Amino acid sequence: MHISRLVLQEIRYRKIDFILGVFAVVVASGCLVAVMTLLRGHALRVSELMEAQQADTLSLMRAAEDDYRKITKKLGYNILILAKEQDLNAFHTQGYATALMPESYVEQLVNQKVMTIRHLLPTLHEKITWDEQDNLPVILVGVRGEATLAHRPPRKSMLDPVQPGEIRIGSVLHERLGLNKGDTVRLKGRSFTISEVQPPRGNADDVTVWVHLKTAQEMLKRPGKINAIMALSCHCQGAPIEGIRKELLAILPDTQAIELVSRSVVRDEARSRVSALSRETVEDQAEHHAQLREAREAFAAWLVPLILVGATVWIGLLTLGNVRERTTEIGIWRALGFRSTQVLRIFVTRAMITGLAGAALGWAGGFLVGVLWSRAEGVSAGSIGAGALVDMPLLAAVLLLSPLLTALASWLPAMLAAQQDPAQVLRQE
Amino acid sequence: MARIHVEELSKAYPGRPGAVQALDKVSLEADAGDFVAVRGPSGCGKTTLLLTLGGLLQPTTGLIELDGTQPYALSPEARSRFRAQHIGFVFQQFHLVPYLNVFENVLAPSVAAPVANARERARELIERVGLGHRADHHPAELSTGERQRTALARAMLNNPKVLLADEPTGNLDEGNAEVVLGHMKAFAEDGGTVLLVTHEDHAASFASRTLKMREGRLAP
Repeated sequence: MHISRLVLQEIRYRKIDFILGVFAVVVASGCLVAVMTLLRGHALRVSELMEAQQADTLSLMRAAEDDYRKITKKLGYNILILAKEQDLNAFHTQGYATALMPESYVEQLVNQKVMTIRHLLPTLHEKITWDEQDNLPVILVGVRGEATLAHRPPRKSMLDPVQPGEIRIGSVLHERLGLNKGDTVRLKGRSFTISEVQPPRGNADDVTVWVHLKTAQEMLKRPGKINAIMALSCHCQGAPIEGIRKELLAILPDTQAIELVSRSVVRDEARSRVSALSRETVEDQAEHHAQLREAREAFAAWLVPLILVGATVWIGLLTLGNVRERTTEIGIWRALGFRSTQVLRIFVTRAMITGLAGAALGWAGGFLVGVLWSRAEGVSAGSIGAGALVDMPLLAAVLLLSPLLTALASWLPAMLAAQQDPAQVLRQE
Repeated sequence: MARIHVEELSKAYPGRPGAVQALDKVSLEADAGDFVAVRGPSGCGKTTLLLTLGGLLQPTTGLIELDGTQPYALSPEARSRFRAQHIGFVFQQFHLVPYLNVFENVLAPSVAAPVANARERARELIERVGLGHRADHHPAELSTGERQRTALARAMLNNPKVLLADEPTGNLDEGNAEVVLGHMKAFAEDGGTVLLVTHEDHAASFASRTLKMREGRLAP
């Protein structure tokens, strides 16, 4: 026969004592498990919500960024590539570049894998007098279709090209000269059909005429020359003007690039604002969930230890009662030759069985309460099933620590039992 | 060498009015096969003598040797082990463990110290005391005589050399008392040593030697 047999028989004999002890452990471990299950459910739910939120936000961000991209694209080009010798003072006072550079620069850019810019549009600007219109001063701009970068997929042109034989005029010219789309006009001895009248823009464009680049070069006797390449910087992180300059100069050392600041700032700010707002929304939600979790953890932080201490005292008192009730029995064990360590083991084993049974029942009960509590609070919803709330390390900890705790709680009364003088009891009998 | 050798054994219980001298220079010897009865009125020190001999109550002065071993020279743990291996106790109140059945009660001493073929030995003893049909019964389901026979079987499980019995027939009718005493006599005849504490003439009549005790002293 083994001590465990004695213990189990005694437990069967004193069921109420045992049940009271188990109940204490069930309450303690159950509270712990219920709270931890709720917190786990909460953490999983938050994680799930955050993932969904982030996915939604990402999707919205992409959609919004695309919208902004389309909107901001309409702001036009934001990078201007000029000849290196172009005096910027003159450029800004005149409103256009005068220094010339080869048109072939465009092809050079096209054939390189330029990552920082797109939509290349070569132009030739010059202020002229429109002889056929009473020597009216106008700005002649030669344009052609946008150059497509070799390594990028073709994109829709930002500016419709002007075909040879056609001319596009600004709004002031349209009003002042009474010219309309489809009219035929002469400029520098050449005949053009007005293909489009530009809407008012409130800038030099209103007094500008656009013709095909080749035509302009012939009219101005500047074959193969241009004085600006307009480009749109790609909205890449870490691609400020310095990066663009560096990349351009590596390909076209005889150029300079300037940024049309107001446009680029608007574009960047508009696009950055979307992601910032999305981030703020996600962060706000995360903070809210964290605050909820902290509140629950704070609640658990005092409740669980309080219950554990209460249960420990309870187990200790129950074991003391058990020892007192079994005073004569202990005397008999000692008379039969049981050593004090064996008597100690009888009571500690009993306490550990109490702890183990209480832990198992407490875990099951606590888990059930935790799941129901989670559902009542709407924490455990969505795709989080009860299975996901099972915390195996917690189960192992409860099953291991509860018997240890009850053993500790019963240690003092068990020591009293082990040290009890058997002669005192047997003599009184 | 005597199985039990007691020399000038004294035991005093401290008390507020003054120490109570329960044993006063008691000396006795008993050999293997002896069945010694100690008779005397209540409070004369009989139980104290028994508990002291059993290694459960440290004497104030004097010497005890059981089969050549001085139990109080041993550590408490070693003394418990010695008691488990060499001594059997029978009490007036039986002191069976209420939640164990007859078989388990008889087997209980094997938890304290290993006993060879303990289960077979327990069954044999239960049969010997006539409780084969009661082996699965709990103490509450037994008569007083059956309880004492169970206690006797338990005391003999470890093949003790010394059986210490404290008023074992005090709660028994004459028939049951005879059965119990008969088993104790048989134990002595098989080479054991029995020290029986009693105040009954009939019980003492089974002993091979009777000692009288009065106020803590033994007289032949």
